[in-house]
Formats: sequence, structure tokens, C-alpha cells
Amino acid sequence: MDSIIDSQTVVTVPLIIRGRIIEDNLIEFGGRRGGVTLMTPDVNKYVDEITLRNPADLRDWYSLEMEEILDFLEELGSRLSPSTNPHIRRALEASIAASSGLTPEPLRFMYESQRHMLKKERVKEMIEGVFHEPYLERWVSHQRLDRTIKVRAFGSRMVHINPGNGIAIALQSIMNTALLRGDSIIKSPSNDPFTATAIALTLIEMAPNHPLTKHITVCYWKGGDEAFERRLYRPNNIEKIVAWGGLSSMKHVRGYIGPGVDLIALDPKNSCSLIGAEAFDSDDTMRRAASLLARDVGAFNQEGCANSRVAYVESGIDEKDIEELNRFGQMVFEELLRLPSEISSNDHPNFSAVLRDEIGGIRNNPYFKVFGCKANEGGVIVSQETEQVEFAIHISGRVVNIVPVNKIEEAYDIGITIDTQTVSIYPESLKDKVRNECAWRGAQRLTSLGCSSSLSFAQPHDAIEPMRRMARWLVIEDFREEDFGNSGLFKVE
Amino acid sequence: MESNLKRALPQAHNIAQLYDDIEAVLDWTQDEIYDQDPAAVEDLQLYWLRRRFTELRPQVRALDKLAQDVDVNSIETIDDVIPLCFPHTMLKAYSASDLEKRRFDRMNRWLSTMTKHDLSHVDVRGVESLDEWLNRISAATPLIPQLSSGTSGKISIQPKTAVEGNHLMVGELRCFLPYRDEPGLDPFRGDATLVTPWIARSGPHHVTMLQTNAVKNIFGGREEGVVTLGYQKMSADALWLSGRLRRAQMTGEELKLTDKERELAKQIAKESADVASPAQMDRFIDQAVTRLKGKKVYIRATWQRIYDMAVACKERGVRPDYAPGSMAATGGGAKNWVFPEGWRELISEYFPLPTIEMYGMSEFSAISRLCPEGHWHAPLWGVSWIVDPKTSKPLPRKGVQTGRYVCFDLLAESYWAGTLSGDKLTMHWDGGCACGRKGPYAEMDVRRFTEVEGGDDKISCSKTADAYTDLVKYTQGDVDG
Repeated sequence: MDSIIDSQTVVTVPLIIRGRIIEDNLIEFGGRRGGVTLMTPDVNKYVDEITLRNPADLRDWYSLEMEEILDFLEELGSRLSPSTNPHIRRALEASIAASSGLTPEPLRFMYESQRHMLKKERVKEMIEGVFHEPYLERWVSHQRLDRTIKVRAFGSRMVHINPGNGIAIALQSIMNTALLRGDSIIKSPSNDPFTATAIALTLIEMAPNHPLTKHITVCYWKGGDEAFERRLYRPNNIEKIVAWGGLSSMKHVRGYIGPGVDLIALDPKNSCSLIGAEAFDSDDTMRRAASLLARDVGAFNQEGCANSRVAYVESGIDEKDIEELNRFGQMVFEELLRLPSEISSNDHPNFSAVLRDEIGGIRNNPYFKVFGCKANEGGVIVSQETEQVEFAIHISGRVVNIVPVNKIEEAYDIGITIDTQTVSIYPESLKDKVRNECAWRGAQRLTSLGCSSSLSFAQPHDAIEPMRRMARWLVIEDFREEDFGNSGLFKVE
Repeated sequence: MESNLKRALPQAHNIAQLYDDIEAVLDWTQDEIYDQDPAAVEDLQLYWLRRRFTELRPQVRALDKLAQDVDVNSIETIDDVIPLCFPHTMLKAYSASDLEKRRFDRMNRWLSTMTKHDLSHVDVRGVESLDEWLNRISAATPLIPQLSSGTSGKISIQPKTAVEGNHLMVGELRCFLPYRDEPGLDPFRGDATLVTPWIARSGPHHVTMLQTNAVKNIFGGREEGVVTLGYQKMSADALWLSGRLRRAQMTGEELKLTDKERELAKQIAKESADVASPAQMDRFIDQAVTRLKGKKVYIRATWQRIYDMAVACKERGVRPDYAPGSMAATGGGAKNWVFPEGWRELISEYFPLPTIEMYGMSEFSAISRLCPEGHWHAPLWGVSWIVDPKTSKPLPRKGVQTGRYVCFDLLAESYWAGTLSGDKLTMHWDGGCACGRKGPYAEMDVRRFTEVEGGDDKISCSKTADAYTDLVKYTQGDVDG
């Protein structure tokens, strides 16, 4: 029954409202270049059901212990393989057709492997890493100077505006809903129209009456549909919006933010690499650094925020140094082409025409040397001076700009900004040297060269702790008899 | 009797003559151009493509480098030219930092790779501004570089000679010439006034250069032949700075301006205010409308500007009363203008002139006029291709093909005029347009290739796609502020 979806197919995506599957009132979206045509119910006809009016309806979660929730999530994860789950298989096919940047092999790899984030030991590690104390399970007591407090993290009613450049986020939204004991309305992006729906359909089949099934809504609407959004984003209806994406999606969302609605904004990011002079110690170290950088550039076709787009290299800038640097650039290009096909493709399905023109333009410029970028294979632009290409923030499609510096310190002001998420670093010893300067300029995550794409949720992300932000933190205070009258001000003897 | 006849009969034009002198085509009538056998046209084009390649490859370094890169050493078929065409970004692929740091020796070196003319003797010592650099080039070489303001805020610099710069003016104004019984006038007789409500009178921008070329070459130096809205010289530095300001505004980047730049920015603001001022418009309406009562005019403006003129006339209680045969031309739809209610009616009321539309780009003098069937027909000195937008491989030169537009201006003799444009076009290669013009024609709807094409509901955590979407949307006026 499963058909192969291509960009000519119309994908019908049911609306899932807390365990109910709806396939009426279908309207059409999309059909533009690089996307599939979606038929999905008009959310405007269901807006009252989509919003969970009464927050007390979250009480059904509290019949479960955390251990049971963890077991349930692990069971869910085991059922999400595309080889055994037809919904997930269909989601994979839709993603292959709808994704503009990822090719079938890496997508297949992602779908097969990322469900393992739901394994019990991983989830436990994440909870421990983020919450440190069992706030999700019970009231945790702390003694303060003037009172005793008990703190507990409760779930909230959330809307997730998810990105489509990775299926991990769909999994994460659902996982967080369970761990936080919340309610989530998930908006699927047009470049991944089906994954969250597929997981919800799996939940319905697996356990139709489970609180998680009863607290997941998955829908699609066009961002900017004012009629719908105005009713959705009311503080009576939701407490948190977790929004990924840039100006266009944020613009729609920010217009609705008022008292009572907390926006957790995961803005788009740039990532880069810092490579110390040690990389040029020998041919071996050069080759090693080249292969690690290639991985940071090419993993998942450079579609992620964590992928490196510019590498600042402490090569020196005189003629001989630049010769070595060009040799390094050539090596990076070779290594790029050798990346395993399950994480990277040598034929990007949608190499940006605009970027191609920009690179075409600078080929004639003696201050830049271009390796590759002839078709869709990506490539390396080696600046012959300490100047990055003007279009650095437009780099995509497995391209990297290598910029020489005399000393790595010169890279800070050029390369590290408030939009910098990941900085991958070589050698390891360089991390200590650069960390504060990077931190002060806005960088959010320092990692080893080669590990840019190894994102984890068991740690801060984008300089915040998103999962903690998604919780509602309640506090109960107890005062000793003698502290009753202190009115909260510091008593002065 | 004989000599009278000789004077009366126009010299017969035929395509064979153009093998020796392609520029002579600029003397042809539109009927002559569009009634040529398409196969003969293509033969002529292939001849000239080969000739330009042979002449220019050894002299234009950028062409030589590209030809080496793509390993194309001869042009056997017309499609062989495609990999040799420069992306339109070539014209702005200089280092912005070079310009900002006034490293004009490096700018010289960059520009010289794109022209056959030698710039090595252009003295850039002490050059403080872009305007001065351009002046030094004009003084020391046959070049008068022409600028365009790019959508990304970075200006393009084209190394054209005076003659080549003039071709753009001729190509555009030729759109006013009639074909068969379509409306037309002959702007080159100099007996009609060119009205262009452009914000500056002179300067290195391709629009101001069109104006100055018209004054010089059509009106023999008579300034009153061309009526402009702004009367000042457009400064290249101001153009550059405006672009940077716009770009910084869009990206939220904080611009660090030098004192000089800050002064310049103030000056730009003041000049813009002047140009937009009622006093300026008073003067313009007086010159463009009141004083041209009963005279023949041709207006070259965007719809927005014509609308502004109509509003200005209405406000002043002035009604244009031009001689019959007057016309207007627009460059097609205004990109980011929201058409106000009743705009068409107001324009028809005040400027009830036959209005034509033009399509082209400043790299390409073979400008097309929209025919009554709603199609673009490039004149024969412009060669066209449609290529696959992703691979840049040629699509067949038959049937209907949609893709990226590539063009070549055969008149250019000092630079390589093959351009990979940023436009998406649908070409009908087999011709047969009901307007009567022979040869291939393009559909009216021209789009720019942008990232947004993939669907603006795509969300990614990576800044790249987003940054470009914003940039495009900003320049198309979709983003506030």
C-alpha cells in the first residue's frame, strides 16, 4: 500500500488531535519547487479542539511514575524503524521528496538511528544532565536562609514550530512532552511534513489511551494564517511557544507574544571552526585536520546550524604559508568527497543557484582560490588573505571558506558573533585558550574539530536550557513560626 | 533627378553586411531586424560569437581563465558559449574591503581582468574616493565604467568604453521605434524630448549615463533635450554607501562609518530629501509638462514614477498636453511597489500615451520591447539561451523551454559580454508570434531565481537559508523597515 512519494505526489497528512485522526476538510498546500504538495485538514475548522482549554487536563499524567514514562518512551523508540513501521517509512519518503538539502541515504540513516535517543539510559542521562535533581518527578526540598522551599517542574501547554532539517526535533518535541508531562501542539514544517504525524499515529496504535497520545496534536498550517494563529496563541490556551527558525517564522510568532506566553526562540545560527598552527606540523596532522574539518562541513549536507561554514586557520599569511594553506584546502576538498555516503552526498540535490553565482564571481578574484564547486559536489574557498568571503553567511551545499590568520586571536573578531553556535576546534589544547574569548563574543558550543554535528540534548543548547524553559517551575514555601512576620525583607538586628 | 532618387531610397540593409560590421545593425529599422530569417540570424550570431571569443580570449584575462577552467577552446556550436558566460555576480566580485580601504591598485587589478584595455598605467596614488578612481580610469583609458546598484547593496562595475556605454542607450531607446503599425516614434531624430524622472542628472550609473549619452549623441549637447527629476551628479561613493546602509539595515549590522562617510551619508539624506521635495517636483512638472505643452515627448520611467508624476500633476492642477505621437516606456512591473487603488485610471487620465514595456539588463544592450501579444523579442545582436537552473546545461533550442536566461551582447568589443543572468524565463524557440516578428520570443513573466522559490514555509535552524531569504525579501520590500 505504500507508494513511493516524489515531488509530483500529493501527500495527505491527517490532522492528529490528542489521539483522534482527522482526514476531513482537506485543503492543499505547497507544490512548489523542492516540496511536495500537501493535503491536510484546514486547522481553522478545528481550532477549538486543537487548543487545550483547561490546563488541569494535564492531571492524567500524574497517574504515571517517571519510570513508567521512560519505559513507554523506549518502547515507542523501538517501534519507529522505517523498516518495520509503515507510517515512519512514509514519513521518510515524504522527507526525501520534500527536503531540499538531504539525500535519501543520510535521511534513511537519520530515521533509523535517531530513534535511539529514546533509549532509557540516554533519556535518563539527559534528564540528569539538564535537571540535576528529580524536579520532574517530585517536589525537591531546599533549605534557604529564611525559609524552606520545595520546587517541582510541571508541564505546560506548548506549541512547537519545528524545523525540517532533521527529524530529531520531532522526536524531541514528543519526548519532552512526555518527560515534562505537558501538552504539545506540533506544527510540522513544509520540508518535513509527516514525521511528527507518523510518530503520533504510532502512538495511537500502540496505546490509544496513554497520556502522551492524549496530549499530542500534530498539524500543518501556513505560517501567517492570522485567523488561526490569533486564536491559537492566546495565553488562555498556551503557555509556551518553542520556535525554531528565522525572521519569517519569528515575525509571525512574535506578533502574538504578550503576557502569559513564553517564547523559547531557537534562532538560526552560524557555526565555524578554529584550527591552530599545530595542524601544519606534518603531512599527517594536515590530513587529519582536513578530514575532521570536512566532516564538520559535509555532515548531513551542511543542512544543520552546527555545520561549519568558515574555518579560521593559524597558517600565517606570507606566500609560503598560503601555498601550504592551499594544499590544505585541496586536502579538505578531497576528504569532503570521501565522506561516508550515509552522512553526506557528493551531489547536492539543490545547490543554491545564488551561491553558485557568488562563487562563480570570485573565481576571477586573485584573492580567493576555489577548489571544486564545479557542479553540486561542494568545495573549498581558500582566502589568500585574512578576509572571509562576503557571502560567508550564505554558504551552504558543503562549501567552506578557509581564512588564514597569523595568530588565532585574529579570528575572534572576524568570526565569533552572537549568532555563532558551534565552534569546532583543533587541536584539543586550543580549547582552553579560546574559550573565554569565544564565550564573550557570543559563541554557544565549543567542540572538537570533527564533532560539530554530534549535538546532544543532555546539555545547554543555543546558550539556554530549552527543556528547563519548557517547564513551569513551581515553588512551595514553608516558614518557621518566628520568620512569619519578616515580610521577605532582610531583617537587620 | 538621379541624385534625388539616391537620397530618397534608403540603403538596402541585409544580413550579409553585418558580418563585417555588426554595429551597423543599429541603423536598421525594427521591421528589418525582426523580419530576418531566424536561421540566418543564428548563423550570424555564431559567426560573431566565434569572432568575439577569438579576439577577446587573449586580451581579457577573466575569459581566458574561465575558458581554461571549463576547458573550452573553440566554439563549434552555439551552446559551447554557455560555460564561458560569466555569472552576473562577476561584476561585483571585487573585495568590498578593497573599496572601503581605498585600495584602488587592487580594484584596478580586478577591473583590468575584465577588459581588453590596459589599466596598469592608471595612477591611483592619492585617490580617496570611488568617483576619483573612476575619473582616473576615464582619463587614462577608453573606459567609462558603468555602475549598477545590486540587490545585495553591492554595486556592479562594468568596464565599458564610451561607445559600448552608448549602445545601452541606443538599445533602450530603439524600443520606441515602431514595428509595422505598432505605436512608435524615432527618438534619434532629436525632435522629441526625453523625460526621465530619475533622481540624478549625470554620473556613472547606467541610467544617468543613458541620460548624458542622449544629451550628447541625440541632442548634440542640448541639455533641454532630456528632462530629469534630479539635476545633480550621482556620486559613485554615494551609491556605494547607500548600498551599504541598506544592507546594514537589513542584516542589523552596525555600520562603522568614517567621518567622511558620515558626512556623505548626511549629504545623501539631504539630496534624497531635496529630490523628493515639492519644490523639486514643481520644477520638474514645469519642465516636463507645462513647458512641453504641444511638444512631442517620450517618457522613460517605472510605473511608480509615472504614477507619482500623475499625482503631482493632479495636485498642481496641471494637465499634460503633449503632441500626438508621444509615448512612454516602463521597465515592466515595479518590484516592490504596492499599486495603489485607481493607479491605472489616474495614469490614463493624465498620461494617456501609448505605453510600452521593456526588458533587459545593463549587461545586455539588446533590450526587448513587449509586443502586443505579451512577448519579449530580443533584437538580433542579442543572443539568448535557456539553461537548466541547477546544472547550467543548455536546454534544447526548440519548443517551449523554461529555465535560466543566458545572454550575449554581440556589440561589445572590449569586454566579454556573455552573462548568466539571475532571471527565469520561458522561451518559445520555434517563433511564430502573432505580432509578426520572426524568431524566438519569451513570455512576459520573468522571475528572479531566489531561495524563496523553495517555499517560504521552510524552516531551518541554519542561518544561511534564512539570511538569504531575508535579503531577498528585504530588497523586494516584504520586510518592514
